[in-house]
Amino acid sequence: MTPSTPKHLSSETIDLLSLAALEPAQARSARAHIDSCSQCQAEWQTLQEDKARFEQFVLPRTLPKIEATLAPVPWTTQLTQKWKLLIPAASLAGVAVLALVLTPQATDTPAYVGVKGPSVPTFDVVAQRPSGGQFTVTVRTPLKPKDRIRFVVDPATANYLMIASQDAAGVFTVFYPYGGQQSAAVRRGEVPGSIELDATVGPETLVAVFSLAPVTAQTVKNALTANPTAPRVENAHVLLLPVMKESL
Amino acid sequence: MPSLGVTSHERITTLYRKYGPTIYSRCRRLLKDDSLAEDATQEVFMRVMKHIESAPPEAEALSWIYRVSTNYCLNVIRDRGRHAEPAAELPEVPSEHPEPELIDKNLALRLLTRAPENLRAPAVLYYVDGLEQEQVAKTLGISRRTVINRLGEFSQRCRKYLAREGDVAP
Ligand SMILES: [Zn+2]
Repeated sequence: MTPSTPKHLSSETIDLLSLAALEPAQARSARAHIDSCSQCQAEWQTLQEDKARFEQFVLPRTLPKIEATLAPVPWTTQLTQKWKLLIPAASLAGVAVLALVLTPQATDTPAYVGVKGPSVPTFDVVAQRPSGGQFTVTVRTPLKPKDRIRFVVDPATANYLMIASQDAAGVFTVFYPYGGQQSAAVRRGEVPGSIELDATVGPETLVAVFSLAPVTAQTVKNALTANPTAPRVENAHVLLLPVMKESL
Repeated sequence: MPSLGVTSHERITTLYRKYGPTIYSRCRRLLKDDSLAEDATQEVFMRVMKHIESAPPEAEALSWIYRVSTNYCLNVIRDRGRHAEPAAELPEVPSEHPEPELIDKNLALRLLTRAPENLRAPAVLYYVDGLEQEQVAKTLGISRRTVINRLGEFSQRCRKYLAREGDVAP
């Protein structure tokens, strides 16, 4: 039998913990280990110090070169379409830049006409942190209690929209129309209202359901329960955005 | 009218803020030099960006970060070694495929530069980072058997070196 390394946390585990990317149970056990092991505690401490040093010194000195080298080339073409759609919303909201890094995952039923042709609904989420700072929420972006999130959509040819969330415990909440029983009429741009996040932590799925006719909250909830990663709603275009809620 | 470049800048900054500290901490640990680590962070990030999706799962991004930063830093160490006093190499061991033995993390780091190049990357990932052999193999794109052989050789060489030098492990 090959002797294994001592049962300390691997660098990967420590890095993932620091990135808030461990499952809640793994994170708890990693934390517990750090609390009880001086060696791993020292590793964690070093990482946190390096993180602070990076933010304070390294980032400002190195970012300009990185941007100059990386920015002009690869993603602009991919983003062109998205950017065009977002300009009206962004200027309306008085926000400089609002392009979503990654298009949320889509599931369609064939009967939905909105996805035919070049125009597909889009769903972007922007968060505002009370301490200041606005950022685009992408897959697994860490969110914290009291962050306010807003939604920017392009319904393409759809008429109705429901935005909802389902947390790890299966609690389903309708964000647009807030607390509603069925989807509401929608126009391109920023969806009215914003949501202040509560203190629940863990993974959560944001879902946007675009449709030609209203769908009920129960239908969306059932679809998410039946297939959490690829819910299908009759005659609708569904976009999912998994996010991660952290404690303060 | 904002240019498209602004969009990419936003995205790059977000990813750099997120993964930069991990890269920096790792390079700093391997290179033991703040200014070399800073240069390395920039280089490694740019190389990692060529391999990852726009919003990769963290574990996938880390796997590339480990691979690229390990190789990059080991190259820096090698190039620096050419200009420095040659360190006494770890002694050779008979090629009988010894099994990897336990080596302290700091000791592995200290003796790294004395090991032949092909043993360094697996030794970093296994002894310093504490990855499983399977993960080391995956990260470096080599077979698990090769990983075991190289770790075995590295640990044997360290052992022989320590015995010969009468060195005391920290
Ligand atoms: Zn430990």
